[in-house]
Amino acid sequence: MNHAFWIAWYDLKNQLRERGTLLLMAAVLTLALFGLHQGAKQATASATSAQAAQAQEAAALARAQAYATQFFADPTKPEHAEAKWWRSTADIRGYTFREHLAFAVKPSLAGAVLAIGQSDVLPAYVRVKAESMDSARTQYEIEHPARLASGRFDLSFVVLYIWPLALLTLCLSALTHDRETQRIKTLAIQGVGELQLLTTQVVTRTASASLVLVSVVALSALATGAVPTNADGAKALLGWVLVTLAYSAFWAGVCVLIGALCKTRSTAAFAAFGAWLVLVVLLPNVIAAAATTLAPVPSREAYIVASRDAADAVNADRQNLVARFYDQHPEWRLEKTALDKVSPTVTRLARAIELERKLAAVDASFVTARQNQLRFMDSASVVSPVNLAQHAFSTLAGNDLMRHDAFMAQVRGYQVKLRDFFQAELQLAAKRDEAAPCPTTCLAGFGFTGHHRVPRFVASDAVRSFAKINFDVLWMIGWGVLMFVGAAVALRMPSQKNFGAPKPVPA
Amino acid sequence: MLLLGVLIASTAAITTAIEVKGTLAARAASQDAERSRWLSQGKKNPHSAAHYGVYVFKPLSTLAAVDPGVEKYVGSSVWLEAHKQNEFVYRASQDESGAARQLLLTPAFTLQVLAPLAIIFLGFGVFAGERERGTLRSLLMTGAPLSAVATARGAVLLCLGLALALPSVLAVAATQLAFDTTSPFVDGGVRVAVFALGYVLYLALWCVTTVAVSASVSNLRSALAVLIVAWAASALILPRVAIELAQSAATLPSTQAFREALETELGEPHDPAEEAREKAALLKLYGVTDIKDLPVNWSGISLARGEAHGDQIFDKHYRALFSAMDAQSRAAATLSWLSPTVAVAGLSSAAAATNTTHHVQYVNAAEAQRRVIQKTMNDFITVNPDKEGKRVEGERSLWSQVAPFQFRFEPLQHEPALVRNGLPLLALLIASIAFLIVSIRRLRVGGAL
Repeated sequence: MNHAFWIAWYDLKNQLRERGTLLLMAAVLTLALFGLHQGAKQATASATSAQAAQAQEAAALARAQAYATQFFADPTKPEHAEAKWWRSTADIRGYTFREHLAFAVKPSLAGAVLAIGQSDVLPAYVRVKAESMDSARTQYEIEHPARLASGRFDLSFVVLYIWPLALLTLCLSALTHDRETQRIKTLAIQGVGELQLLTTQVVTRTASASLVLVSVVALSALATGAVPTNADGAKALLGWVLVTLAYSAFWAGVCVLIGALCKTRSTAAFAAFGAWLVLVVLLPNVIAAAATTLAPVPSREAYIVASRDAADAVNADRQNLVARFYDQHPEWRLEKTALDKVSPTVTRLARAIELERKLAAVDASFVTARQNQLRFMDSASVVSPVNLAQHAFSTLAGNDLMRHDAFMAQVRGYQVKLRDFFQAELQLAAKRDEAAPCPTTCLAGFGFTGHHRVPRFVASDAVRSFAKINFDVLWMIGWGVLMFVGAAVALRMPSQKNFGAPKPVPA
Repeated sequence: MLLLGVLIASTAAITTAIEVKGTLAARAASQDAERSRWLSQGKKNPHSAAHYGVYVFKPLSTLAAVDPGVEKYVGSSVWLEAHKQNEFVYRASQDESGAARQLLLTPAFTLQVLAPLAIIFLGFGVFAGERERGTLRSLLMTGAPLSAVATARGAVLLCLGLALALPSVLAVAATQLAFDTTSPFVDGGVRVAVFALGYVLYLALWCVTTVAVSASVSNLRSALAVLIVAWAASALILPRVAIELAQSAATLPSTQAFREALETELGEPHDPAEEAREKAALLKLYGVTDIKDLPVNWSGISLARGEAHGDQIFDKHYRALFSAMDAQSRAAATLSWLSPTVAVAGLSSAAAATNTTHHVQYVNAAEAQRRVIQKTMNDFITVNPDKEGKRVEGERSLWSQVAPFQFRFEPLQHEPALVRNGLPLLALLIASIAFLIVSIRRLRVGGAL
């Protein structure tokens, strides 16, 4: 223990004297802070556009109410002469299918700045229409495509991909330098074993560097207000710190194993970057490729064809569909109007429901494939610390696919509520209109003043609350420990041949 | 290291080629289905047919199997219908978890990011190793010119680096053979040549730089450190930083702000006085007093007027949006002068037609096709007045007047990336050669001894 302390102390002092080490740390910290800044910019941009959408919704509602009040005060005014029902907020038909404006906003979490995740690909808000989920499903935020394709430079990018490079570089000389300079023999006389020396050096370097990183980032996040100084902010930061430390622990394990197996710094460098390639590039891509192969998502092109087929079928069967609809809802059946004379606008939502029914199997195939993919990724990711950390960071930030799916499931619930509301309003208006038809929009017919009664989206606590990271992240520490055990075994094997041992130079 | 590189390159080439092949098949099948749907929609009013519309699907070149560029992040299909320029829908990225998004293993990634790393590891010791082992003096004593040694070692490195390109070449060839599709290019050969030349120059640049650094520093560790820092900065950091910094070059609107501005302007009625004047002139031309007595159909003329009004607004808004994106592309490309990876990535996606500029070409072409459909339908309505209150109807002969959408990308010579990215790549290569010459001269003079 005493030895370990002095080795650590001596190593730390040496590292602090190394200009390269200090430059490396300064570079990584600069990149991490720049990444944090980019995360904050993305979070602000998402929040701003979501707020703008909500403000637009509120303004549209106020305008619709004001117009209806003014219209019904005196529908005969000349300024209303050109009013068209299909573009009027005072007419339930125009309001339902064209003028109603509603957004569902995904609440931002306290840790949003910590990882951009999929937040640039998956929208922070979606427009919801009563007729179908299409507007919500196909909503995108406008971004330069190259920005999305190159991958975003954020804090999680730095921690996931650059930080391991930094840790590997810091630890390249652990034990290998002592072997190259023959210092190991002197230390052995003093009772310091190779494993003790290697472990102490690696732990000292990775722990001190990691503590500097998490401290600087956490303090900067709090000082700049990027993460709010409240309980949620503290929880998010604490989660991020723990995941980062666990991830660093894994890479410390990799460094120990490399130090144990490689005799020289050059071979250690080869091994380190080979390990980086396999663990950071190859493994996550192999898992992703396996997921798409084992649970392929059907092509969206085929989806378009299927939806067009379904729309054709619904249109071809329009009369039977209307009959079925009124059989199911006899309370809305028009008394004097024959079914083939019912306005297509009045039965438009019924057609939309039928279209959904016809597409249900296709939609389900997408949902199932995505869920299967995510399930596979979840279970396979235990072997990939990069995946585990990436998933944990995105979850902490609330910018992961699973949270978005949960949000979209809620949006779907809201859309059904909206559709049911407008369906009832439309059918009751059609009945009123049949009883007392009026040539223009009138309150006794399709006139509408109940804008304030239209359901509005409220995110549930499940989407709003703090995201919990699961215990899978402990696998990172587990793998780190396994690497350490591997290193211990390698160093104790009497016949161990270290890679890169210098060959004797002939005289 | 080389074996690992070839393994990774092969994995990338196989997975991307399979994906592109699947996408090509799906798009071709869907495009055929849409064409036959359009032709067999039956008898109906041409304006109803215009609303029925068609979907068109973006073509992909087999070069996209090497560099998919922005393809996953832009929609692949758009619905062409009356009155409206719709947005492209269904981005492949929306169906993915994003787990491997940052360092997505594609052949382009292998060539742009991993091949330089392999070159560095294979070459950082070419002179630094000799120096460290003290064998450089013996090498000089052999009388072999150092420049020739450097060239030979650099050439070997280049060959090894190009070995990583081999799986990609095979994947493209296999995709091309397996999928007999019409090329979306009028200059396929030029594009392949630019594509190949770009990567050869890029890899050559890394080989020259590696040899130059190895010749200019005193030991292996320093050579490796300098090269790794250069690689990380060029291949990992600057490509992302470039596009982030480019955001300040032009502001993109939020989707909702864009749609709101567009819809507000579309909602404004076009000049009713102008419409009245046109109607009066038409009545006068045909010597009648009522539009019902016109030998032409006023509703066709009116629909065409509405389309022309919309077209102007769409052009104005989309032009502004695409100009802002182009300003960002231009700003991002300036970092090509610092990072060869930014330069080659720009050149590669331009040659493969998978960059933003090419996507915009397709968006514009699809919109032009939408306008052709509207014009065909509205012209037919115009020359066929309604009879006895019954709206005019079209049939297959009319639908087939709309030619199938055949899209070809513009020739590469018009592509701004050739200058924006090609020139910096060339300049960086020349600079690295100059650096090598200086390093070799210093080595020869005795700086290393």
